[in-house]
Amino acid sequence: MEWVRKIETYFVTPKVSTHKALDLLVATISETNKVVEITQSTFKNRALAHLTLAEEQYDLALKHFQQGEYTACQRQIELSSTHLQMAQLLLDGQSEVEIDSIAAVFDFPKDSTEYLLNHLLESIARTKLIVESGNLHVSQKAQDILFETVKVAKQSLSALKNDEIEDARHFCVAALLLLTRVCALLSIDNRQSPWQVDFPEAAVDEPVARVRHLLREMTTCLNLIADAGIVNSAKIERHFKEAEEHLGESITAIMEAEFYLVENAVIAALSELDLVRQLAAHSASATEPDDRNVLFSAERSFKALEAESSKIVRIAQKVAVRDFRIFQRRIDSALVYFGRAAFQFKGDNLPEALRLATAAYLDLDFAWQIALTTAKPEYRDADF
Amino acid sequence: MKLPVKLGAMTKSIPNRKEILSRLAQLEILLCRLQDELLVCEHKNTVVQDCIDRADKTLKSAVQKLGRGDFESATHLANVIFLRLNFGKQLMVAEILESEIGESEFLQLTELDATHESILAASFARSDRIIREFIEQCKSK
Repeated sequence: MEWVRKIETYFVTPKVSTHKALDLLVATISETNKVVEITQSTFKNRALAHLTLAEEQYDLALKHFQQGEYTACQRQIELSSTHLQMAQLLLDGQSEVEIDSIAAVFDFPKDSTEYLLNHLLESIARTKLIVESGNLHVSQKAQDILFETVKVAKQSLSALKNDEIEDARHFCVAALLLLTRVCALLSIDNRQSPWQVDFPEAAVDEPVARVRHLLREMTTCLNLIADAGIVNSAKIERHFKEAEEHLGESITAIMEAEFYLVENAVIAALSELDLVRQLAAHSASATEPDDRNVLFSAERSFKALEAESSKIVRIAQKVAVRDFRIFQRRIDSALVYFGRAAFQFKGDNLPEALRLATAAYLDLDFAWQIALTTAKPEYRDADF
Repeated sequence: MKLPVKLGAMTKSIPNRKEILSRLAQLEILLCRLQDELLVCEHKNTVVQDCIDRADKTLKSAVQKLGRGDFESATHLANVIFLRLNFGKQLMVAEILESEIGESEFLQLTELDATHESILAASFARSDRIIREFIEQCKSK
């Protein structure tokens, strides 16, 4: 009868109800143990880990019960049963669970920090995917800024976990700005636009809009000087670096929620960019475009190869590349050939420049085989 | 009655115990599968491993919070786990593609991710590109 059960419940003491719960818990543990023993589930180990934790909590619950601490005992029972339920859900095997299906459950509101952070992380992964699939060239500068982007994104995640929502948001927006810079550099380095980082509306307030404007101006300016072929101007480089430093200050200000510093940093950076533009225009009118491009290509290429060669030798020494002396001779030889090629290029002796550059390529390929393969190195035909 | 939960700038109702438990179990299954995928992947991306490790740690905290009846914290931590696993999963897609294509350019996401060998390979790839570009200019001029 219903009323009898109600009266019984009314008179049940905490000791009796806790005892009943303990009995039920131990029976469920035993039952789950049996299932774990015979299961073929992929998640058997994880279920077992939860079962072990459930047993530990049960032991603690029992101790509390023996000492008459029924409330504490019930808390342990609750915790133990949570682990048991997790074990059971894992054993039920929802192997069809996919990230896409669960993403629907975690449908964050568009102006939440979680949404922004998810957008940032997916954008980083997308950048990686585009670089890998397009085999895009990644300059050291783009690489370094990407390291910083991922570092800041991780700080954002940690802040979110610690319930520091505002900090998480600032870190996240700063990382999105850094990633925008990475993508701009990738597009300049590869002479194509891999993709634009999308900024959710919720992330764009006045300071962020200012920095985004600066980023666009920097990209335009870089394209301008790259097209004009005058990157090796010390003055232009110095002013551009100053602009980059101010950009860094503005992003740091956003990260540290010191928004009042953003405006001045952006204004200072834009002034530097104006100077860069003026210097570029002056250089452009001083020389014929074709000549500038010729000089730029040969010299810049040689300097770039020189920098890479010294890096290659330094790391090869660290990792104790086999036949190191032969390896080093091939790298040195490649650089000498390439230097001569650049010289012939400037003198318009193109067949000789081509021959020397090919020789440099063959030596580099030989060194590559020593360093990164186990096969006996050989001079191979160039595939161009 | 559902209570409000702070979710960034938004408020959203807290799911009930059963819903949270189901989310955590699904996340744990995803975590296992991601770990399995990483084990068979040629390049062991340290960022993906870090995502898995941290998600695992957060999962333990979330189960504890749920067991102690703190539904709000458990829900919040489940969100963080999802963000980490989703990031790890998206990176794995790029890793698998990279293994399939086997091209020389490889985008490192952290300095830890960059082994001496990968730095060497990237530097050779850049040198290769410099010479090829130069040769193209010789041919096109």
